[in-house]
Amino acid sequence: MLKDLIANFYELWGGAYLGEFSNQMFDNDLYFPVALYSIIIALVITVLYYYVLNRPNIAKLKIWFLFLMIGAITNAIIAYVSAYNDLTEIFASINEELPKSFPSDMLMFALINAFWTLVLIFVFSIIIKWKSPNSSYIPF
Amino acid sequence: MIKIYPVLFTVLFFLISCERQSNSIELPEPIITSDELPNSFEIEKAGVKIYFENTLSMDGYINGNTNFKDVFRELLVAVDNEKKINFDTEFYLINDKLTPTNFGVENTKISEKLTPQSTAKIGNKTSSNFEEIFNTILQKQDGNMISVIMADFIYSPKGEPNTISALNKLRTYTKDAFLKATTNHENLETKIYSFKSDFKGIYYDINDKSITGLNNRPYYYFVIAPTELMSFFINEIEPQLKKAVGFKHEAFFTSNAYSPVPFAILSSTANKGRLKVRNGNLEVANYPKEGNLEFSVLFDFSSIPIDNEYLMNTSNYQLSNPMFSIKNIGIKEGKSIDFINQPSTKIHPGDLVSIMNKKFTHAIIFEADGIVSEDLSFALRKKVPSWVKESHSDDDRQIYNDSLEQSKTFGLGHLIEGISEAYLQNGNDQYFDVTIPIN
Repeated sequence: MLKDLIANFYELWGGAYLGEFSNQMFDNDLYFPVALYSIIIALVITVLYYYVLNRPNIAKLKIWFLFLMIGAITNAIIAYVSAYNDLTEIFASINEELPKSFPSDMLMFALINAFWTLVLIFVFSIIIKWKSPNSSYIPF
Repeated sequence: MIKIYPVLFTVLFFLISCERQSNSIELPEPIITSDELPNSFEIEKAGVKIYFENTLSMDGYINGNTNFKDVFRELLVAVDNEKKINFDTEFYLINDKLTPTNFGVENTKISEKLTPQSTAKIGNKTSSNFEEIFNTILQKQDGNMISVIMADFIYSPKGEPNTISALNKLRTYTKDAFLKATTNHENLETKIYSFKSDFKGIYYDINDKSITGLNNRPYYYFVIAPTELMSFFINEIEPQLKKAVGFKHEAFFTSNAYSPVPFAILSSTANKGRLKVRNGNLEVANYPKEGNLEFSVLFDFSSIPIDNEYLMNTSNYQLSNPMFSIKNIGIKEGKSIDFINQPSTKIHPGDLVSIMNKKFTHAIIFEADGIVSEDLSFALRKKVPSWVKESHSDDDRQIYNDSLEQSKTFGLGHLIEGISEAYLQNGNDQYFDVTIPIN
């Protein structure tokens, strides 16, 4: 159930179904760890911005936006690297190379993960910003 | 701002390294092949009764060195040297009488002693009443016993003015004999092997007219045994028979069914349209722009004792929904599938990953005419194989001039239909059925 739910987020309910790549990600449970680490990183970056680095000089929308982009890029890299390593290992186990379409599929997967990271950091920001001493009015 | 980056990158690399360790791929245990399995047969001792139809029409098969004798020798040697089961072999000549004999030699040498001369005065060689022969043999069938009947199975409707009526009688009485036998022994199975042998003798047609000069004739082994012994025979003895010169076809009759059959839907091999396979369910992501949706499914038919000729005949399958049809059937060979009349199809690497460490023997390409809205159910029906119809003759009077007729057997179809009907009446009419879930 959770597996299907996560797959739906990454495949945008069929809109971004990438054929064999998506099947392999689903069959080998590779969506879940990427989703888990992406959520953790989004949360860590949000907490970092609002409470750890909490200073008046970073309480600006463009700095918050910079954190948003760092989170998105980080999670895009995690998605790409994780999918690449795991799928390479799986295909190597049957003495096969990754199908030629997979690198572009991985890029698409990374972009989708970056998109959901932006959404997550935005949602986390709305939820946890209220008690931030300096940034409670960021992003609005 | 400058202090933020080291913190972020430290967290990032820590997480990536942790992620790789926690998500390392655990490959399943390798499959144990059948050769490595312990001997699963609990039977230690069994009887093998070999019956030779001792009639004049069979003399041509045992006159000198013939393919018939070669195959018989292979059978005797295979049975005699079987180590997993201690077989007690008995040989019988059968016509109007049942005569046990070994011609005074060890079992493996019986084929050499089997000649028209050595069998000349044993019983009435002009009689070949198969209803009686089956009755006699099936009544003797008991417990752990394999019966092998070697005969040309040419029906002699002596004294019957109406040939069609006589053939129908043959079918009905054969059915009766097998019905009684399969009622008394529920797990009794029958396997028929068709061979061709060189022939040096006299052929007797429907009117009992003697015809000489036929050089090759078909003959048959009917093997009757309980399920476990039949499995043993198929695995251990049958390969020797099928390797022998002259082997042509086979047919199998059983009351058993073989469901469930393991299968795997291939999402990227031999398909038309874009498929999503989730938790064993097929979802159609996109239909093809031109033509019908096609998808291929791998099956493991290894536990079904049916030959490829039958398994790969699309007319033997019954599909529940008329929108589906079978486009092609193939045999899986390593990382490829050999479909009928098609170049070898390489299995997509992604599908190879999905079927890793699973055993599959065949592939079927299904075609769907229109939008798929329900599950695909299909079954392999228990039918008389098509080769039986091709080998059946109901008029053999022109056999000398007709080369096709020379490869046929008078009355064979009715005989085998009788057996088939008995098994259908006493058991399931499908070898297996499979439902492929489609969302």
